[in-house]
Amino acid sequence: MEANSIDLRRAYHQLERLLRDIAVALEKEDVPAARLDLGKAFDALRAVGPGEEGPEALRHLDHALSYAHRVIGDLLHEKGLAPHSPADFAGWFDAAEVPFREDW
Amino acid sequence: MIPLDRYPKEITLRDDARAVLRPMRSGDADGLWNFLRQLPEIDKSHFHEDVDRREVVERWATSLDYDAALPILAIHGERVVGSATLFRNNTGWKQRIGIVRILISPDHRHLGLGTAMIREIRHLGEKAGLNYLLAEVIEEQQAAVRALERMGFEKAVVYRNFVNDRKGDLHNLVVLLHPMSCLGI
Repeated sequence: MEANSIDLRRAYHQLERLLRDIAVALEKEDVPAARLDLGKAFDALRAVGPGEEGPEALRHLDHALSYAHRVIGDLLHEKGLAPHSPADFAGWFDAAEVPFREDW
Repeated sequence: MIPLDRYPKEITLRDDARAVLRPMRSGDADGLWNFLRQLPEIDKSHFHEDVDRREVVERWATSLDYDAALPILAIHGERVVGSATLFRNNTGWKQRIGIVRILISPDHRHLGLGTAMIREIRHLGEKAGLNYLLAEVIEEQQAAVRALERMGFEKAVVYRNFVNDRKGDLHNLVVLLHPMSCLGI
């Protein structure tokens, strides 16, 4: 499926909100590695403007989301909760196979 | 000294089972021995000593020095099901590099325990003020390589036919590095 400009703009703003929410949750936690990853997520998001299109923009958004997943995983780990797995949301993906699963 | 007040730490695995993480203690020789015995041969390749000898394992458990090697065990019920060790040099040119070694029981794989152990070691590495974590993995251990990469480790180099297993067969060695937050990269 091709992402159009509206999809990309929507994804950008959703990611921005997600990262801000994560930043608030992270403020109360002593998880330096997660702070580093959150910084990388924001960097990846800022590398693409809200109206930008094309494969490069999509790549940056994908990076931002990957870092966000890692931070969420860190927060869950700190709380002793089960790990977040993108595979749990496989039904939402428009793909034959979710490209990552818990291996180890 | 790395603060250890976060232990014992309870975690939840993907099957909702609970495991406890805590530093190895001198009384863990039996648990460690049983854990090591069930590991596949390839997972034992990196040990400098013969872990099939009970006295070796007992010596490890009774000669702990957390400043040099901090082993964190994952306990499920009464069993040791995983270990993650952070090796450090307190002096010299590698004192800001931590070496990571993680082992997971075969019947506790695919549950997120390996990833949880990597997260734990990353946290300890940050608290120790390290610049880098370094992991060495035999290339066949693809699940470990993927988990390390997903957690921010990057392949630095692959040495071809570089290390031998306990039968003498050669394997490729993958060296992965994880830059810590104090580097700001």
